[in-house]
Amino acid sequence: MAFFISQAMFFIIPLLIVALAGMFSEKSGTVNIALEGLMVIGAFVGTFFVNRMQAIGFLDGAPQFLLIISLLLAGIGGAVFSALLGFLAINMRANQVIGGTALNLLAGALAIFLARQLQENNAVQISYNKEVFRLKSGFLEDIFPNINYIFFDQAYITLYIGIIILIISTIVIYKTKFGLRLSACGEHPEAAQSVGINVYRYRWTGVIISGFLGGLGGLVYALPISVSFEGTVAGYGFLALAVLIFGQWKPMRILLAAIFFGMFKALSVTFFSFDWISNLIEQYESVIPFGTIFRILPYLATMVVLAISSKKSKAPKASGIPFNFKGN
Amino acid sequence: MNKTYENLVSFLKKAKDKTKVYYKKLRSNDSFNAITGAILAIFIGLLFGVILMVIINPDNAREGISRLFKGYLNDPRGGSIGFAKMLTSATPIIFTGLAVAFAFKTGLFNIGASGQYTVGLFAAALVGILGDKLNSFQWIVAVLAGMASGFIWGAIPGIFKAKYNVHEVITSIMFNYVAMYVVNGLLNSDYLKTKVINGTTNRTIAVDQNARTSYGFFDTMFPNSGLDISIFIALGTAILIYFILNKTVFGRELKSVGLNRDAAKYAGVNEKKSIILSMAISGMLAGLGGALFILGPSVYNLGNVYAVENVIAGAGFDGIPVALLASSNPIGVIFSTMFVAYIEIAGGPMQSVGFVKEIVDIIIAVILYFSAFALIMTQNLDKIGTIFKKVKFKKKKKDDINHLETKAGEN
Repeated sequence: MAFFISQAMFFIIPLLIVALAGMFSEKSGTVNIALEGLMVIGAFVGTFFVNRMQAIGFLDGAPQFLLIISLLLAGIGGAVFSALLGFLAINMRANQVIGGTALNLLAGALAIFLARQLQENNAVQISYNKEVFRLKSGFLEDIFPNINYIFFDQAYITLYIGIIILIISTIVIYKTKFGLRLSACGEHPEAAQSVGINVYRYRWTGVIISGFLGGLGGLVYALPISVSFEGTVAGYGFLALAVLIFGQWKPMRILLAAIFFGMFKALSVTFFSFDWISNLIEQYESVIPFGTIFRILPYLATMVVLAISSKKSKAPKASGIPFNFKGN
Repeated sequence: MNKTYENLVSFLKKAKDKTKVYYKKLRSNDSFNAITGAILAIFIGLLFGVILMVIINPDNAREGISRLFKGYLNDPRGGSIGFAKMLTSATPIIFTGLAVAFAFKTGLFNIGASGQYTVGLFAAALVGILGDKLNSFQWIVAVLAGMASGFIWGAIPGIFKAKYNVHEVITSIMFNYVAMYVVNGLLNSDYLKTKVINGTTNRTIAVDQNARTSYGFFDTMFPNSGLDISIFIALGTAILIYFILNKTVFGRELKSVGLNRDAAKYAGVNEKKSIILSMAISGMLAGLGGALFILGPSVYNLGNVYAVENVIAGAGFDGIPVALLASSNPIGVIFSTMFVAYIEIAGGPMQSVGFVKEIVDIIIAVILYFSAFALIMTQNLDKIGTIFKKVKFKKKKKDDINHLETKAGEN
């Protein structure tokens, strides 16, 4: 069980961060289909930086510090990339779904192109050593070995960064002038403009925050689950979009939705670690394709839950609708 | 003398007015704007690619760029074989492009062409490999099986959209992964593994000769290029879809639901049925593409195969840029697919002079990015004209003021 929860964390935290990324953009009124692309860019920038720094032995003694720097760089990479979405959606008032799709295509091609261009032998894979980033702390080891295993031994610092981002996002959205104005721009931009809020500026800020968190989330996703990055995040950005919808654009509900999907996703890679499932598999292996069922379960569960929750969608009303400021 | 001059002036004036009217008519024509927008986007995308190539490898840039623009002419077996190969690789993309375009015309964004393509391919492959008792009907049954499974797979996101209000982008993306895992799981099942999969390569075996698409007369025209009659089926389907969308009541109904669901409902269209049918037909087109791909005889009649890897089919995603570049016009899809195939076929030859083939993917993505606001760009083309007018006007005003000032000075 401890192994399952610790694995689930590797799926829950990035889903949470990236869904929050989508939330900032959509709250301000811009649909962000490009989350997948933002993750790819962030994962590329972050893993490439880690790869190079580990190669020259930079910060070998302080891996956590190196990880934090690469997370920041991944975020900046995502923020820069998201400017393309901002320009298209806010300034050019273009179709955001088409633009987001273009950015998803561009991100994948760009990551592979840059990886090949910047590495020896045209290699696509960016390899890194993730083990050094584990916290490996013995805190609470004697009293609660399982809790220690999940939160302090096998965990990465990204777990706590995710929680901090959640708390800050909740406060910013609900308790600050900025957050309330941001939401206003996504609900009724004309009204916001009429009381002197610069809708364009708030939408741009929303998209850039979205890009930063999306890029950061990309690295948070890519780092723990593999030993190399290959230019794709396997549809995780879209899963995060589903989490955002299931979470009804509210931070705490997004957390619950992320836990729900993260559990299913983790189950699809760790189902063999449960004794009773292993027993079931042994008995009915020839009749029921367990592997396939567990692999498609996260997607089917998403669909069922969305079918139940989408009837009364609380999406920001002006999200996806270009704002046209008609001056004097 | 004077009269002829006057005649000439009035003629020129008339001609000018006529061109103005004609130009205005052209400007308000949607397809004209779409085509100008697409060409503008293509121009910017190619320019971007060229600049990128000059920056990353200035020494080989000249050769690389010339290979990019030569497209199929790079083929070592000559331009005509290259052309045939280009058509071969374009055929499945025409279908997935039509799938995306059809859905888009009816107000739906089908990102699930990849999954529908995969299930169509899988069903056709099963019939093509296991259905040897069907004899000469094997091909037809395989194609129908591919279309039917694509239809069903496409209908699912439609049902979720119509009945539960779940956005089709999310559903169709999810069902890409479900399709890939289900197909791979089935291919790895005890029953199919020995019959359908080549154990050493982990790919499907080629379909029976009876199930393969005919080369038609292409075999003698372009020997061993892989080009078969599916290109005609693709062209025919594009024309058929254009006809259905624009000339039939059924197509109008589907489009009206896309434009305004509530209004269509009020006008008596069964909007839920329309949404489901739109997605299902879109899926059927993608499934047909998958089926015709796997049934294709391929180069040297070796047959095509499907690799069992956990990666969703790229052909489905290639359909998105070609459909959007064509502004979802079915006939336009043919041209945009040809263009994309033209520069994509240059990817290989570019690689041998030191340019990674992803440059082509980047160019296509940049083109799609700019085509997203191509319409706004073309509208701004007019604005450039008005800007010039404004400059002139300002200058005139300034001259007037100067004139007045000098007058005032005189007094």
